[in-house]
Amino acid sequence: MSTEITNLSLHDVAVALTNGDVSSVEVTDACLARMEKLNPVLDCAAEILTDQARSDAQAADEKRKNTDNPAPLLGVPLAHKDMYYRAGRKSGCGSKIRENFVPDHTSTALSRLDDAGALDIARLNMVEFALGITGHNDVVPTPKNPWNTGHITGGSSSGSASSVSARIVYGALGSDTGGSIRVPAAACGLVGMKPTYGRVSRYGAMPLSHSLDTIGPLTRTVKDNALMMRAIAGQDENDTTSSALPVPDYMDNIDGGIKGLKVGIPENYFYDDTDSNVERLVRESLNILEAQGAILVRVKMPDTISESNALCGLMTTTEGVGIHQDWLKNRWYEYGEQTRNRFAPGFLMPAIQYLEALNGRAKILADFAAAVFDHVDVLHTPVIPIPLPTSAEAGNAQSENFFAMTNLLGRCTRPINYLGLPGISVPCGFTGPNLPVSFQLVGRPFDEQTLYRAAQAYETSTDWTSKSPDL
Amino acid sequence: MENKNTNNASSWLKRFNSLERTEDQLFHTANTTQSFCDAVSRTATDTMFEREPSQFFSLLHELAPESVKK
Repeated sequence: MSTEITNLSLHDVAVALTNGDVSSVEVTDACLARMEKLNPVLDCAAEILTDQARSDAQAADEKRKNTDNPAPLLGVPLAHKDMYYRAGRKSGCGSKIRENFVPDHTSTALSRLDDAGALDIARLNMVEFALGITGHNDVVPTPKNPWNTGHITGGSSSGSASSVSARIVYGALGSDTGGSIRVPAAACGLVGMKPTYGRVSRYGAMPLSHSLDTIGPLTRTVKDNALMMRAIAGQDENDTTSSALPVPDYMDNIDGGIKGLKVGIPENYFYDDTDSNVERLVRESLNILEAQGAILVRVKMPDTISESNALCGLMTTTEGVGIHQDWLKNRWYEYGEQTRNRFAPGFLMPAIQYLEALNGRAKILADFAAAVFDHVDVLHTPVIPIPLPTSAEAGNAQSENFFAMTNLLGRCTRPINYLGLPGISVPCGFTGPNLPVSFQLVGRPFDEQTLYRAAQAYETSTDWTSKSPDL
Repeated sequence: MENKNTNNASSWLKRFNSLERTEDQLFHTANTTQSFCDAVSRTATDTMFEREPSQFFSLLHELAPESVKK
């Protein structure tokens, strides 16, 4: 019974709770039992909040008895990347430097999930200060990929991906500055949404790059993802970069199909360094979309797409050093080796080059929109263009291929952060020994709804998201 | 062997940022910075007078579908 409960999707467990088929206490106990069993293997959690979770589950069940209109996620156990502040609770940010940091305020994303009734049952491990694409962490435990524990989870939302994929919790928040939601979601066979810049408030979330950071969910299914996004999206007076545009109900018309939807196939850049097996699976997903009524259109990427990748890196390291400069100067060796070496280029970056990268965004976005969105509704690309590296490869920064490997891992995601656009990763198969592969859909600004509708059309025509790792 | 680029970078880091890094330690750092700067030089076209960061955020909203703006 316990495994049956944890195998439900977030959407289905919410329905089961509403129908009274199961209580929040039962669901939470099942999740906690799975966490206790698997965390020693997967290292996905920094802290399991057992007593708080049980108390909150009992309160949720009581609340449900006393209301005719329960909150949509009432009593559903979630857990989040350990960078979302909750007043009075530790938030270690995957680091030694902040391992005992206790914030005095709660992030807007967590507050909104609280308002939606969700439970928060653990702090999840992550890449140190969210700066790293493989998932490797030199200073706290590195989460394992439930599909194949010898291979990377992707990062930086590594614990989020590991715990949701392992059917420990039903969904988790990640953050995405250059691919940190979409890459781990793809590596662990999950749906990951990087929303439009400004769609979700970053208040109370550990910053890495103010110009690029976004917050979004990692879930097992598309509908699960839409349910979490519905809870967290929208303007927030505490984050002046959050958009005032109204938030649609992402569940509206999610099953509406994609007849006539124009899907762009990039002629250049995105497949340039893609492994042949990965490319075959990603291109096969186009056939499914076409069979659902999508119109496939070949699209030439503007020349600046390649530079967008580098400019994302420039802005991340420069703005990141702006935040970390004092610790980097005075506590250099308390950072993991990979993290401090990733930050270091920011110290050398001339200010004028940073300003060029910042000021050039509008023109590069305009060029991209003219090349892509004048012709299609969404762009279809790989997420991770290579088979998943091993954990040993990700841990060996001295190896000859390390820089090339980390560059490739984020090659298809970083440009989308620079452009500020929404992107969703959707599982579409496996290569080799249980190594998940995903495709990415990129949409117009603030058009997450179309991405969900297209992803849902694909998901319901395949069975990838119904598969679970053998643990 | 002395690498002029990293030697300059090492001096820069020490003088302006109080970081002591040797040439060897800065090899990849300097290369990464160089690649970032090259990307900027390939994309920069007009003068700064015509551009500012707020244009990007305005354009994001302009490009949103009309259905989202209602």
